[in-house]
Amino acid sequence: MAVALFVPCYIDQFYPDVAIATLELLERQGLEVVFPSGQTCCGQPMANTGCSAEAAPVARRLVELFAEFDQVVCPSGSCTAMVRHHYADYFEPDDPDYQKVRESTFELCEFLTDVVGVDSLSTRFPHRVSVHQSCHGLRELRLAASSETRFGDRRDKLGELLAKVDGITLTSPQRLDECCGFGGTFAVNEVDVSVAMGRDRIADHVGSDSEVIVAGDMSCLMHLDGLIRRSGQPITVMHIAQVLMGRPLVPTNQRQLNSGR
Amino acid sequence: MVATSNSRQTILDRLKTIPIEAPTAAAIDPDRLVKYDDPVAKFTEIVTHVGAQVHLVESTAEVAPRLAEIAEFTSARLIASLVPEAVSGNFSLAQVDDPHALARLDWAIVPGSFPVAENGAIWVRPGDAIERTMLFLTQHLVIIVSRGEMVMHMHDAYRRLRQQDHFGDRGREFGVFISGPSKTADIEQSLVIGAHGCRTLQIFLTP
Amino acid sequence: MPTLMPLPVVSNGAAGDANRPGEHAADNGPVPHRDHPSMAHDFVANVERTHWHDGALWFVRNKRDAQASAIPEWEYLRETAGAIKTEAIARLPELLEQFEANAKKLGVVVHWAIDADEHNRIVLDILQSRGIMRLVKSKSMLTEECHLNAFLEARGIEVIDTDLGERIVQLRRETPSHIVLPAIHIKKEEVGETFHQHLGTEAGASDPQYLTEAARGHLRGKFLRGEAGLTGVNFAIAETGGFVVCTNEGNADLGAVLPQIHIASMGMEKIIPRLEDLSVFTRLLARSATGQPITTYTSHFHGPRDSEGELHVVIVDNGRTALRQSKTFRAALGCIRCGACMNTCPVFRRSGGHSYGATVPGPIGSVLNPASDDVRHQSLPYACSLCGSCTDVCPVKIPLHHQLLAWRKEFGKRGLLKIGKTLPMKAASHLFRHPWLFQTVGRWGRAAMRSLPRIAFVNRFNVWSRDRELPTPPSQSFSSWYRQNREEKNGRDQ
Repeated sequence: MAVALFVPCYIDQFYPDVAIATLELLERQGLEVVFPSGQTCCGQPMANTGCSAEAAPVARRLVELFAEFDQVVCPSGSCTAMVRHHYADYFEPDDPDYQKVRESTFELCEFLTDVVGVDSLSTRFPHRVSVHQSCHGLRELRLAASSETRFGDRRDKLGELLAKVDGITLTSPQRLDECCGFGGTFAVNEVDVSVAMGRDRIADHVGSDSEVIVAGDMSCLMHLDGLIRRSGQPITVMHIAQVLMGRPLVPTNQRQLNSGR
Repeated sequence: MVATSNSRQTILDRLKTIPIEAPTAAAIDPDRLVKYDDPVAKFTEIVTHVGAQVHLVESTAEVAPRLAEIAEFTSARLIASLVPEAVSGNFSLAQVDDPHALARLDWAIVPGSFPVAENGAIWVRPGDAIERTMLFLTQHLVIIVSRGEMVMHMHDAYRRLRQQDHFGDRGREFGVFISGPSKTADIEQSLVIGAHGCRTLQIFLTP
Repeated sequence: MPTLMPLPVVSNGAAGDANRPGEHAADNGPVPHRDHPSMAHDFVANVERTHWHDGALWFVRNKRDAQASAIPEWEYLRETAGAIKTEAIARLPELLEQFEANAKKLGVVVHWAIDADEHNRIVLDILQSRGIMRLVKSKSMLTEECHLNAFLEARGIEVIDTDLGERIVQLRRETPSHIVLPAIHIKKEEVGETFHQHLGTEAGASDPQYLTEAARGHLRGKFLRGEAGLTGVNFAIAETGGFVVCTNEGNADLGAVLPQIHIASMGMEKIIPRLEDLSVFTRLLARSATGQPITTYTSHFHGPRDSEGELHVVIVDNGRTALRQSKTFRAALGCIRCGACMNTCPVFRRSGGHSYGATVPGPIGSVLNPASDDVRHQSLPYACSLCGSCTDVCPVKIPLHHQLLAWRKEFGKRGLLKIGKTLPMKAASHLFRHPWLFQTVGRWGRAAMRSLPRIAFVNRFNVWSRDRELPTPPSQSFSSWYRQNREEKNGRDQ
């Protein structure tokens, strides 16, 4: 049966290449991938604000849309965590569709390492790369052991995939997995702290001599990229799907400043 | 005295409104706990790191000569000892009936019950309020304890305290784990040894 | 490091499902309340100081990691600690009665206080009935929660905080900004200034060694003249009727043994069932708090110091029974006040403890404070990026970031969310329920971003773009790309 692609709303609208790279990456593994139409959002912005009544119908829509699939793959740890760990408020506990979607939804990297068992990627990306461990992927999905708990098994699913890319050099920020300060509406509710957190993360990655910050969540990267471009930092951002597909690295200063001129 | 009996009942009634079920926590499985090949070395490493000086000795007779090498000890005016076979001290605690009289105490030499390898702590159980005050008011503290009594970790420590029935039916007891000299880092996280309690801690590990 | 003291703080009123919060919430000062973002704004504005504060706490977090990783069974200990606390909270009434009975056998006078005010009056009564005018206190977050100092001082009793950090903030007429590191927000030069003014240290002197020595001399005098000592309680053992206090400085012990009267203020959730449970908590507490293997002094009190001495334990509710009723928030009562969640919190490190406007700041404070006053503390559960680091360091495994999220939902249920929050979410929800509308609005929005002048998006009304560029809008969404490149293509192919 085909794998369903679950594309977060902001990726659909602002970062189509992340979804395209995800699609191509899965297809390259020989999988049949479909993108069910009518997708919008998982409901996380409303849920994290406390607006359960507004989140519920959005969550139920998503479950309806994906209930027929055995495997749903999403290029976002945060949206995956929403479905896997935070949908209980909106469904009866024994709702079969909810149960099924919760268990069949995977974040892209864990899907590749744990379900597909990716062997080789046939990709070249000759750059110095540092990983930003997005918090929900890290501490909700446990894509890697967090620095608070990384005693013993130290698996790191993003790192495992990146290690399969030819020509890549991995560098590491000093603080392995501190939050970037995006946090959804936190980025505007607590703008001062959010910006301070983001700037500190960027400085740490720049200090590691990385050319590009790579993450499994484009939302963190949208925040970091916004700061990088505003202040002209010598680093750029890419979603891990783009790196795993060997997309060219476009330095910040060669990208246009946002909208208008 | 404020009458608190009503509050007591009110609080207990509130707590009993909704019964809450929870399983009894499983006891710690000893097989899952850390073991050190050389507990004495571990103890020494840890407690040295937190600012104590450790002396490995073969008998209590070695304590006095070692202390005599410490300038603050030889120049001390008031020395109280609860281990007379090691150090005689220069005034008698029997004369003291108010802990405040220990305000100028320079050195106190006390026995420890047992050391704990994992964290460099020593269980000390003073006999009365005067002995208890000594531990905290003295400028410099010496604890003499047998390394043969070393336990691996706090689980063994409390098992031992229970076996010796330190608390409960025996009535009033005060006991303290001491690990290193008193310290603070309340000013900019700069570690300063010698906050309110002792400025130095000398530990003598006897056989 | 300072004393690792006690306690909690939930004040009055209800959490979660129970009834609405508290009119007599103890934690509410008279000062007009500002929300977290606005107080954080002031702190973050000083970039150099923010980095200094962040670095100091990150240093402590790193020490904690080093200690935790030195114990192979660390995660096992956390699980066990969580299980013991869950058991203790469930058995609270029974354990408190057991504790009381055993403590009485040891000659302890046990008092019960429903709220902060009753706690303060009990302490006052113990002091006044014995003609005591000078109280030496070691660190107790419970007495901070109850605002005991101000209460006693207003009645002519001299209260001396003896923990160095607490003494610093007391002399400066501030409040602690952190429950374990009360003066973490103050620079040594500022301490030097304060000590110069109050203790007569040399002007301009800022060496921590020198300043600590000065405080030692100053406070020794206070200890020797103290007529009663007050400590907190880290752990109360139901089985023995005794309790444990953990400190580094030795101040709690001096305060408890020099005077004849020792008062211990204890939040009711400090109770643990068995003596052996202490092994788990004494292994976790200092390692989590300050990255030490154990505190310098771990003192076990079982009865008054001698036949003339008195030991009073004041068991305080102040909202804890209400919090316990809430299934969602109950686990927060397991907090052992180590402060690890504050040290690791990226928001706390950059906004400072005072930005939380409450006795207990940081993640655990943001869970506890809304239980005492949901309106006043409404901004706190949002002072969080939901990164989850707090949950991963918590030695008793309180699901802190999930509880913060739960508070937001609780506010929604209580109808407390402001229109500025709900209106955009209602609009978004509508949009997300109508995919055609979502795509249309998206297309128009992106077209507008590409064609309108920059000022239309980068202006003072757009908080995002104050310091950040907006994403560069693509001409085509993925949905549209997919239709064009896959569905239509497939259609042609077939």
